[in-house]
Amino acid sequence: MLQYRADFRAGLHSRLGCWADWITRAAWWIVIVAVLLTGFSLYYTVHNLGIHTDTGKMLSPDLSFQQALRDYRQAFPQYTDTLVVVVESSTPDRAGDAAATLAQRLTQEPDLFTTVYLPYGGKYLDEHGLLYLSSDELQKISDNLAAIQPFLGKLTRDQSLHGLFAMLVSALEAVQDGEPLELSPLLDKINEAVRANLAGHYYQLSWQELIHGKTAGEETHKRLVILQPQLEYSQLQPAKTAIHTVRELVRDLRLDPAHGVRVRITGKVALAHEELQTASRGALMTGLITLALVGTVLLVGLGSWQLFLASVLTMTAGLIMTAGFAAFAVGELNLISIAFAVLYIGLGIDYSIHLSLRYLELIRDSTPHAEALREALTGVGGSLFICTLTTATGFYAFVPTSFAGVSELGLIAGTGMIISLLLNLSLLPALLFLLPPVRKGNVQPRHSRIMGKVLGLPRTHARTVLWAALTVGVVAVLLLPGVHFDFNPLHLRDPQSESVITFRELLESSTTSPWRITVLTDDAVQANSLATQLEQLDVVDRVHSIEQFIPADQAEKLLILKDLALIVGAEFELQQITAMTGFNDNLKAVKDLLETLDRFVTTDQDRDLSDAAARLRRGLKQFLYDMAATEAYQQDIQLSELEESLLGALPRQLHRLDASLNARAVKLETLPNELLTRWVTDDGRYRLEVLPARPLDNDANLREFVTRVQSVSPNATESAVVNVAASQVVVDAFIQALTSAMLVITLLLLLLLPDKSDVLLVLSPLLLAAGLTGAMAVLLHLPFNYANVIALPLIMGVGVDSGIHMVHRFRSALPSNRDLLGTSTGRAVALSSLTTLCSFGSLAFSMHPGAASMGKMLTIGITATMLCMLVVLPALIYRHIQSGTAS
Amino acid sequence: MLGKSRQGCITRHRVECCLLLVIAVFAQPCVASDVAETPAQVVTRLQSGLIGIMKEADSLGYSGRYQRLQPLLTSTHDLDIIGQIAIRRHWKMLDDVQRADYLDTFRKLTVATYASRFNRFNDQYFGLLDQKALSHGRHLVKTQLTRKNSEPVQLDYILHLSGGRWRIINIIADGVSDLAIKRSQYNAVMNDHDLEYLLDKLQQKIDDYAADIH
Repeated sequence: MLQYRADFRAGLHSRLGCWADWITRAAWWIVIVAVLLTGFSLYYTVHNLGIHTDTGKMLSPDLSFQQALRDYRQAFPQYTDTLVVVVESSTPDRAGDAAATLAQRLTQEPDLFTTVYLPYGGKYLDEHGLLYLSSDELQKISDNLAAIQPFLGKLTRDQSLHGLFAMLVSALEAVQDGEPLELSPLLDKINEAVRANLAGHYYQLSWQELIHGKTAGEETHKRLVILQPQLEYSQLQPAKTAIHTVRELVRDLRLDPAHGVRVRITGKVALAHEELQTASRGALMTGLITLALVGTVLLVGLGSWQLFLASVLTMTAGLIMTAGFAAFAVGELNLISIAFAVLYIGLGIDYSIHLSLRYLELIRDSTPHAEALREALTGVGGSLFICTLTTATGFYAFVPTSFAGVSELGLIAGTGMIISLLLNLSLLPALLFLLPPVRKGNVQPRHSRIMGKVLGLPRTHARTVLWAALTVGVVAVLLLPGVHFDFNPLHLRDPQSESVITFRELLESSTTSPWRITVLTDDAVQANSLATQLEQLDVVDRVHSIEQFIPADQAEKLLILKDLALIVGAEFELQQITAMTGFNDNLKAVKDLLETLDRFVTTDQDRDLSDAAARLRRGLKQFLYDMAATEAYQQDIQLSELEESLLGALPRQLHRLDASLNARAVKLETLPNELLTRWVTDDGRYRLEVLPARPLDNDANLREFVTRVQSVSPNATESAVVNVAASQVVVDAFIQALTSAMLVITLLLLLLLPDKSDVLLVLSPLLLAAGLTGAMAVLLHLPFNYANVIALPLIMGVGVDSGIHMVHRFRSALPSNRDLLGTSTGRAVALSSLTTLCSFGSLAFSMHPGAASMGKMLTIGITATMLCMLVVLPALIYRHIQSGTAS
Repeated sequence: MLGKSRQGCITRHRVECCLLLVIAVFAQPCVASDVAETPAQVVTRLQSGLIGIMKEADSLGYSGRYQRLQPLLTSTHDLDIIGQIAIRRHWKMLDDVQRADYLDTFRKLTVATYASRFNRFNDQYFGLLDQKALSHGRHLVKTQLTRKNSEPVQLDYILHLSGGRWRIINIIADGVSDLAIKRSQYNAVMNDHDLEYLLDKLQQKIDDYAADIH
């Protein structure tokens, strides 16, 4: 075995020598061939390489939860890729009207929106909404309506300020006559409207609350409009037109806070859209700064423009060729496999750095140009070869995982490493040969004495370093159980963005939670029994199904409504407005009301009422006073505005009331098709919707909700399930990939390295670095997630490569003072880590939390690796030499 | 005085009185109304009856008007249904005797109210404005009452078919629903008290109407 390894190394060395000689002769050819290959690869990539952002596609379609999702989407396509428009207002009337108007307008854009759905709204619910209340609630509404009918009846005929105030006058008189009417809430509401008009604020009196006998709370009334936009996948931002259209419509319809409404957009599509926007925001600037930073570090680190140029050109060519390979082998990149570029840049430039710095070191030692090139190639080439063999094989070990993202990443990155090796052994030396040679005079001298001492620290304090490393290692191992994977995709998005804030608000309530579980059942019987089982789980708030749309106790409720229709009379049905009132009538009505209020303020009949009367009187007096100070046409406008505030919502509420009085018995067959098809398929399969009992913006809640529901119904599906199940697959895939990579790497190192102890020398600092990275992630509360987990292969690659280079240098060309840090290899390890930190660590400052977490993870990982390779490994090597000499 | 004797009748011979009334209600339609009356005809019959009673108001006196109104109202209105709807929520909690007691008082109160209100002729006349079929098999007849020296009042009658005959079940005067007023008044009493209390209150009103005249 040892003999084999020695032969292999000797053979490699002599072949690399021949190779170097050949390069000097064929330098131009190599450059030409490289340029042609790069050009072809670029062309091929541009025309063949696609990117898809659908995370679902990263996972194998054969996984059971993927299959369940596919079945569900086929059965109910209207739930896929939706935009959720959240319409809010302080009154249910305004929220409902705004949502209805918006939905109605959106239906007129069938090219942009395949479905427009207004949950708990629309014509059907206007007509049958009251049947969904309990008999008791309905009876209460009915009694309340009977109580206010005398006033509502009059108001219906005269829906003007005059009508309202005349009605109030007669109501107040009725109270004086001993009628038990609760008028103070209404007086206060009217006062609110008057005050709002005085202040120039928007206000709308809620007739729905008055009709239903509810006193308004502070709560906001939410209505949702669920849209399914046509996504333009050919565009960079597929949902841009759809979202833009909604926003424009919202602006045209004046659905803004100045008009008492707030409209926000969220849902899967909006989240993805805003994520793209966040990611691209400032991306160019950050990109340029990063590039400048990396360039400066490289230029300073390499110390010569020739080396810089050759390295950058080699890396660029390699990146393009790897992309070409990706286009050829995979065709489409996903959010994980696109990280091959990160891996390539991170590791590819390292190869050039190692070669260049060794070359520079030789030049400084007065080796002639061609000789230095040859020496660098044969010396570093060997370790590059081993590096490539191990890292590429390591990445290839990702291929068998069930996570397409990781397996494709492994394939591309592994091949990328081979391409990088080939280019660094051909194009880089060819370029260096053709470029003007680096002169010794231009090379920085060896470091100062003090620097030399610093660089010697790992040797002089080897024992301390190793003890410290051991201690840190033990602490790290103790911290490692705290490592966890955060599968919540919301955490990867800008928490300040509208879609994320709104989504989280919706998650707080079970009725609005966009994360709910859907179960597809074969028929009504199965649906019912499963619903009963699921409702017994404490993690489940309730289970919705089409059954929920068949109201209970219909006979009783219909009787209540039949009575009600009679009691409130036929006025609403006829919608007859008999009175035509003008400015003078309205003004007189205000004054009449003021007179009546005057009487109430002085009487001490009912404290609440007289207080409310006093407040309204003050408000109205102020209103008349302010109005008197304006021009005549202004007065007209002011009075009309007050009228609009008070009565604007009335017609629609009367219409709804009228519609709801004509409700008919509801059966499955009489439900509108739009509603039915959201719950039952043509072939009779039923959909169940499981609503969470606890808010799902908490990972533990989400996980428990999903696992418990799955235990009852294994084919449960939808985002919540996919999030949890996919995270498990991703974590498993990464664990499998990294473990098998490490195994393969260990095996290869055992085969290729001259001494068995060398394997330990390479691997122990690497394991320590891995432990440190995990421990730091725990300490800094930086969980692994879909974005930063791709930093791990890079950290592993850098670690393995650095270790191999250091050990190789120790075995092949250890300087007389035995300080590895002082060698070009030490500098190369430092420089390559530094460039990686500058390029990808800078992502830590990204606006995009996902990218930022990857930047942070890389910074931690690369720093830990650098420390282990540059401090711990040299100390280890020194102790190894010492023990070797001792024995 | 009349009030007192009536109250005595109810408390002492409640069952007999009820029986008598039930017979009266069933007997009336055959005498007073045409089988094929249209909703508008029912309303017109009621209104011309009222005009006639008003014209003779003084000579008839309260009890005379009461006697004339009783058959007229029972044959044009579905008083049992109106009474039932007015206390719908509590209706299902009452037993048969209570229901009969309540309906009896309710019918008397209705007649008494008319007898007390239509007590003078002031050149009133009714005019038919419009009619229209409503949902739930109901029919709307819109009329207008014109009086001397005051604004006309719009009276809308809602009728339904009861045993093949159109009967009034609600009247809406200038938008104000009679049934709504009754429902909220009776509910207010029943929510805090029991049926006995409501019956006492209603009887009190009947007595007041009767007493007013004397």
